[in-house]
Amino acid sequence: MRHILAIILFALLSCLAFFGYTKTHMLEERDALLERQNQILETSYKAVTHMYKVSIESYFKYIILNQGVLNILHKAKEANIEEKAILRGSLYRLLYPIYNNDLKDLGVRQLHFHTPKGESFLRFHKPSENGDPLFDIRPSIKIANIDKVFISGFEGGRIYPGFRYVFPIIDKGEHLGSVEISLPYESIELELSKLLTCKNHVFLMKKSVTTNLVFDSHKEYFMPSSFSDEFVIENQKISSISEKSIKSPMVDTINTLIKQKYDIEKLLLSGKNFSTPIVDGNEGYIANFHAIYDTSNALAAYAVTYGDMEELVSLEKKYLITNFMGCLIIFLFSFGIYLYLKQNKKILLEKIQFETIVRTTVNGVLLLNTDGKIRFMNLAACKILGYEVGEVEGKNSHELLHVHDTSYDQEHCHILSSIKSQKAYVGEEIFRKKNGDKITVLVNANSFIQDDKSIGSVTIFRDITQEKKNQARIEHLAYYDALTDLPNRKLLLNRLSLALKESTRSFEFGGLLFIDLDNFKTLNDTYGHDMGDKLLQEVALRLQSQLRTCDTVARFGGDEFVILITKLGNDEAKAKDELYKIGQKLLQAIVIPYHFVTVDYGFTASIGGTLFLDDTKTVDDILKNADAAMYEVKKEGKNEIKIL
Amino acid sequence: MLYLRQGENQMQLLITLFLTILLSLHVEARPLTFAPSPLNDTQKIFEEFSPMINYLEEKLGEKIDFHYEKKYDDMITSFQENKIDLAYFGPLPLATLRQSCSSAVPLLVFNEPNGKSGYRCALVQFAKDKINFQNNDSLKVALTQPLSTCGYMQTKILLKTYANKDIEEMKFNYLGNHDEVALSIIRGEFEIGGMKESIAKEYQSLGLKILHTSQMLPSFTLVANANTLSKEKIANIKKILLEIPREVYKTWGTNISYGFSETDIEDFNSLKIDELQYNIPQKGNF
Repeated sequence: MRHILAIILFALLSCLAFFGYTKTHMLEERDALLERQNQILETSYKAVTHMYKVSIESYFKYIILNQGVLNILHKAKEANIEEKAILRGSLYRLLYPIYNNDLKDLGVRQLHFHTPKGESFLRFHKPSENGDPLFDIRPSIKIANIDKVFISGFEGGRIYPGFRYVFPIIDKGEHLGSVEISLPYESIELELSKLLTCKNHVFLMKKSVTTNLVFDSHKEYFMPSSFSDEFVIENQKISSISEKSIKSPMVDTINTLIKQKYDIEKLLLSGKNFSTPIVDGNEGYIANFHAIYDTSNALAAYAVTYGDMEELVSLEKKYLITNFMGCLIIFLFSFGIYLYLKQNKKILLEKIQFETIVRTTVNGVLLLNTDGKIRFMNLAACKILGYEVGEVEGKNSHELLHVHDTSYDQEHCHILSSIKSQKAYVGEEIFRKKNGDKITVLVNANSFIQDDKSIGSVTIFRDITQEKKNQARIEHLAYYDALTDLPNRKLLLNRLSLALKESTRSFEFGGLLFIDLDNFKTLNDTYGHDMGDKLLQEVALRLQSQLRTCDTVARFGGDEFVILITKLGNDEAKAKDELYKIGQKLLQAIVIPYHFVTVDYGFTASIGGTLFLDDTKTVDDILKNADAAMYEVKKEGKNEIKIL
Repeated sequence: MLYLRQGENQMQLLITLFLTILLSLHVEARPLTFAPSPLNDTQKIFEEFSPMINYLEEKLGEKIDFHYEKKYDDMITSFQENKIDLAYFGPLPLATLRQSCSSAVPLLVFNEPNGKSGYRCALVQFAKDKINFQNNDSLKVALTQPLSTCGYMQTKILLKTYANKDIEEMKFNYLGNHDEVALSIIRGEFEIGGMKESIAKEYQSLGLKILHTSQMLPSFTLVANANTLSKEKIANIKKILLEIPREVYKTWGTNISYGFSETDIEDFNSLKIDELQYNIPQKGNF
């Protein structure tokens, strides 16, 4: 549960981080779009104002600044009020055709002459308004008349604000005042609209350059803007731009959304260019605000353009899709981590279990790679084989450990073959210990399968050397007498049965001698059973020493021994004679005195024998016949041989 | 039968009532309309009258639209067709209007700069120009409009009394408004002209010279249309304008910034009788 919560938290944080990244990226992409739009607007604006500057300079130099005008201005410097009025009228009369035709055609609204002292001399756009001082409200006029340099820029005024081009008038070294030619924003907009795709424009002007400056009678030229109390627009009743924008549903929509989504008042007062991208459903809009500064470098107005911008919708959709895909990938990745951790935990548990098993098991565990090299050997294996932990890793198990009876060829190795054949192998093998000793191990080898390909094996083995010895001992005791190590009654009967079959097949006589030590009980009673046992062991050795390896000496019970003789030939008499001679030889060996530590002892034995040739006699019959012959010897005085 | 005749009368009454309501609804459906004096320069007109209209809009709680006409004739026609609710008329056009339209109700007269109602017309020239009235039939006379008080009628009187010249023997043309008369003379397009004295004084700083002035004439009047406005509303408008503080109207356009006075209808009646004896040409003669 803790892991699940951690992974969910990880996924959520990752999503948040991803959202943040994509948002930043999208904003960068969007800002680049907006920057391009703003640059287009700024470049267009500069191009238009520069174009006007060039045209207006030409008009000033070659048309306005003629000798007639200069004469009037010279006279006006020294004239009284009445004379000045006539000169003013004369100047109006002289330049009115140029103002009314050429300049108005160019888009000029104001042609305004100023005295050297900065008073309005003649406004062609408002001839009856003159004589008012302008230096305090018109920095451009002050600069043109004090510094006597040309200046241009947007500026407020007593009648209208405008884009001013103010020229000082100096003739023959005499300063005659200045003249300004001003454009309304309509003229700028007219040219801008030829360069820009946006067809809706608004010109936002600060009150400081409009209503705060104009004559009271001209305040009605302006009306509040929809954005800020600090900004006004020209009254729609005198401005086609304002009228068009107010009637435009698109501008109305954009303005409403701007006010909802942006702190537009704050943005406007920042005095910087900015754009307000807006996405409304499937519609994308942009309003670019180009800041315009007056001649004293203070914010004066904003040229605003409105337009569609489908790229914003595409960008937003791309952003949403990216976020969706990103989230999906993050959640899939997180789910993958969850599964990985779960699997890892399971593997870790299995590993702990495996290591515990491998560490604590008494069985040796060997991990081999496909070419038989040892990758791992557990502690039990190290103990069994006499190695230190880690000593054999990387070495070839086949060469180091495995002892093959026949071939060292790896192809014949059961363990390595099991890797290749991808089949389990269980069997006994001989392993070599570090000290060279060989041990028998029970091996269980299983190959590791990955993608249907064997990548090694695990070989679990157990040292069964002692088990094998014990088993052999048990098996020996089943067929041999524990005291004398001679075949016991069971093995004798078995061999007798085989000999009987062999005799039948080879048609050669076999013989059986039944030996019973005489007076053996007396020995036991006199010297104890230990002495009796020693004597029986000595008798056994003497009997074995007298016979061929193919013959069998068995202890039949107590002090009774049975000798099985085979291959006595097919002549019965000779066979009987040969059997008798063997009996004699055995008897002679028995009667030789026995030398013990404390005593020398001598005694005799009674031997009965019989021949057999085919299966006409059973094993029991043969034994009974030999036993009967031995009893006859006992009856007749012992220490003799009798063959029936 | 009696029952049926009574029913017919009731039906007629209902139809009349319905039509009256329908008509009044139709009239009330559009915003109030104000027609300023006819001028070519709509911007100047707007500048002149918009403070007063804005004030009225605020006090009445109703929107008021501007209705522009370039000639008094058209303005009178629009008034008669009930397209105008309030209008700014000079004395002569008002007398002409009242002759054919009994619904034209003079509400108030606009005071002149001296604070009194009534104004003068002036004969003007550019001070630099030397004019020889004698034996000079090529002199060009600038006039405002045929029905403007200071247009043909008063200029004819001023020329006769100042220079003993008959305007019919001179070249004259109508320029639409007083400012254009002044500016055209300053530009040298006309030698002399007739215009309102108060406006002429505005152009003295450009060398416009007042040669002669008329007797005091009734001032420009705010006229209400009784066909489109209820008596209550007319009375309300009149009350609002008469109660405007001086601090408010003094910032308005030049010609309406001196306050209002009650109308003396007799001034217009006498003007109608006297002045309409002149046969005013509707077009210039060159």
